[in-house]
Amino acid sequence: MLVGIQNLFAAIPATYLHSVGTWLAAILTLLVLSYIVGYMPLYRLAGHLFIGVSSGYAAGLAWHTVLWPRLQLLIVDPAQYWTYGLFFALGLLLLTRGIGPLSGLADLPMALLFGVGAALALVGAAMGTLVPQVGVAITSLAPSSFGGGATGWALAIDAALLLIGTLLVFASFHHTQATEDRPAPGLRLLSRAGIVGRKILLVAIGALFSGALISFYTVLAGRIQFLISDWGAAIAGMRF
Amino acid sequence: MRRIVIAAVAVIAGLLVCLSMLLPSPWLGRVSDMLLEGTLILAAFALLLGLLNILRTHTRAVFQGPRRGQSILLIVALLLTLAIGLLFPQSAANAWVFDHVYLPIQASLGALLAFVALQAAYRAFRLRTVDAAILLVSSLIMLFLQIPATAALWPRLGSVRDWMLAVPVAAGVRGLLLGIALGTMATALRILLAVDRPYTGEE
Amino acid sequence: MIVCPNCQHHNHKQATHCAQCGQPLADAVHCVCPSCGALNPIDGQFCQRCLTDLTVPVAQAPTVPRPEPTPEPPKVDSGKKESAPQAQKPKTPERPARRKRRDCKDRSAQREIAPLPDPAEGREPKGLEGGLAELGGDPLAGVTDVLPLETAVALPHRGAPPSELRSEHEEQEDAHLFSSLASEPAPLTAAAQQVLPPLRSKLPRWLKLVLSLLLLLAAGVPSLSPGWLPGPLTPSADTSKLLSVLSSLGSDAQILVAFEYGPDHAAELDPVAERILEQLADQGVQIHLLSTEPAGLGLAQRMLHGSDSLQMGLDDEQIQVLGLLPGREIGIRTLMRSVEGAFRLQTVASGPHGTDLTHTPTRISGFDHVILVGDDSRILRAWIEQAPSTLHPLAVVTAQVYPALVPYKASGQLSTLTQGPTAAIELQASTSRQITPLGATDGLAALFVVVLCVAILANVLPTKSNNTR
Repeated sequence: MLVGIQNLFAAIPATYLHSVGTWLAAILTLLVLSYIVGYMPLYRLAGHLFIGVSSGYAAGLAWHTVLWPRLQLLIVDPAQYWTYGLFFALGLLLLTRGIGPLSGLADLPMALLFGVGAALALVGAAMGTLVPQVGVAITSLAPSSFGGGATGWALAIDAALLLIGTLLVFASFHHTQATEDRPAPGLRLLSRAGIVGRKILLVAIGALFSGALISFYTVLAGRIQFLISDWGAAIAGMRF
Repeated sequence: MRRIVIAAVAVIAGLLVCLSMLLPSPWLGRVSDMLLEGTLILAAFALLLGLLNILRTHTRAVFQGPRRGQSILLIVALLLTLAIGLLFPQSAANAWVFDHVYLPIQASLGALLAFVALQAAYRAFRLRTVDAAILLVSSLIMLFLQIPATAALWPRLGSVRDWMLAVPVAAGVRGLLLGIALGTMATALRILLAVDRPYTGEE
Repeated sequence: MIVCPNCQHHNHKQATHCAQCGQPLADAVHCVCPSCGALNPIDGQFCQRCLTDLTVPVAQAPTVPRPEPTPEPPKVDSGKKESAPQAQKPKTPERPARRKRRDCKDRSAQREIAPLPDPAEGREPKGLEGGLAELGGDPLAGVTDVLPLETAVALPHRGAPPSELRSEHEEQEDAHLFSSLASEPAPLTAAAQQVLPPLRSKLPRWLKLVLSLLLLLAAGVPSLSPGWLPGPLTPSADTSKLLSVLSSLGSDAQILVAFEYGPDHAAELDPVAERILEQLADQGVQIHLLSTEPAGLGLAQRMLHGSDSLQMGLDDEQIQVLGLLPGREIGIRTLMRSVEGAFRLQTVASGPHGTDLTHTPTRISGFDHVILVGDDSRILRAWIEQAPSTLHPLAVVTAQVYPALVPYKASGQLSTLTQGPTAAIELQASTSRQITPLGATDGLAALFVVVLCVAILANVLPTKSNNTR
């Protein structure tokens, strides 16, 4: 039966599928963009459709690329791949999360997920971000280490500015304030530094924001181009 | 007792993986590989769990909620896509659904962010404070410098852009990244020390 | 007792002008309960606190004397009134309409009201300071939602703004709000509506439509313009390095390409990804695709079997899709430990198009290069953090994520870092292949003009007051 369905689909002319697909994509695009004019029902319709399709697509991929190969190995050689059986059983327990009285069964697989994930995040953040970034921030500021001459001086100044800027931004994350009972001149200095750090942070956020604008604009331009060229061609083709 | 056992599993699994990344021990490596591949399987099951939760919620909504039409559409789309994905995984049908349903909707949802971002820019660019002025000037300058034509018409502006990205922006972002890394480490430590136990149900 | 909106003097309920400053009491909004001293709406019938009938004339309502003014803290002083209380200067109404409720510190001294709530009791409205900070003009309001980094973790907490951002106006707002909570046992929802101002000013509908139209016009420019503005004359250093790395690969090279972007950024990254795959395929390189996200894998498979929106289909004998790596850090770390362990290649030795996957490297070190094409800074950071120190991926990212990864390029953890839109334009300029990158030069210039107009409009148009009381 599966072969029959597949053959049926293959029998449909590709141009027809292409046309139908283009029209469907255009309609779905317009449904989502109707959010701009504030008309929500069509937008919600597209949103629900997307949730359904994306969930089904993700589940299908998860089965075929992660679970099914390992299940095959477990069936063929259970002695060697017994751990897969253990984790498949835990996975089935995980699926009970959300079923009221059985929800507690999912605690064990969740604990494994969180434990391993936390360990990876901890070591990754430490060895992958903290150490390398601190290492590159604390660097020699001697112009000679950058090649000497005017270029060396320029790069040394840049490195100094980078180090000072990073420290000032770090100071801006500090929230303890001095009080009359606890006069702390150091904290006041830290607060002043934090104020400057916040300004530097805003420069970075401005750059991030401009990048975000470019990205989102490019996506919108892509949709507009699809509507103009692809859908326009489909509409023009209908006239014949 | 049960909670202690579950917390112990999380802590021990996490510690084993941590140690395997720090110590070059073959035994630790094998245990860690087993745990990693096992949690990969669990992560795939977590995707299935998400699907089940959606089905459960919207099935309830079909019988009780006011918007049962949308829930019916969701369930039908989900089951149809799942069936195609399970039965014909690498087929043209699966590709067609992705190209003509999934991709257009998600791309359009991303395009909506342009409007949201522009409205956010309108609010953020009001010059009430020095901070707002800095944000405005920085955004406009970086936007201007990233237009390819500016570097073509005035080559020096390309160097200015590179300097801005390499010094002030990098300083700010590096501070952010360090803050994120420290926050991540603190959160992960809390889980590994069983101070936070997000894996248990309602307590 | 009617509270004068100008000097807060308590007047008799039948008074028409303030006995102290002479201000007409027609605009008064509060009256004082003669029994408990609580503030009530002027048109209320019963005291909200003690339920005393406010409409019954009190024979001898106690005239609550105005206390001596407390010494003003420096930042409260702004030249407003609060002069000597005994001076009964008739204030001429040349000033604009004042706020009705001011300076509750004095009132709290002159009547018996409940003490201010202990914040530990949770009556202090959460997020109030953040909301008021937004009234004071926190420029980060609304912007942080569209930024790529976990700003909730790293950014300064908006509940504790620097003191110089708070004005006297906000200080007095705070004082009155606390006093209101203490003396007016209104239902929670009503209190929230009265106490909490809207966190963001709502843009008028016409303005939203104008902004949307401007953006739509700008978005149409790449499709309709013939290309007035020139593109870059030479590719950037990173794009040149990327091109040279790709060009130097032999036919026996193995390349791993991670599709870490979704359809929402396909328009930005598809041209570059397609261009890279074509270049590699032309050189006979074996290409292996994977993703940690289902949508990314769908895009990778699209590259394999071709699509309507792609320029051309690619030769599937050299390109294979390995599969999905769920769990982000978990999947990536598993891949770094063992490619075979991540995908169990022996069970998928024959790929969907009959390809032979037995030559796929079993370890990450077996790949000559790893190319990351991504739009999510968290996933890209996970790749960088989980990768061994000997692996230096080549990254092609969106403009949104690009600044967030510059420090990793500076530290050498990334071999190259290129930005999708500009890289596509530079690749087109430097090679003979025809690609049509979106967001091309004219489009980005149009975007800049729109954002500049928005910045001007934001400062020219009058702003609607956030005070909805």
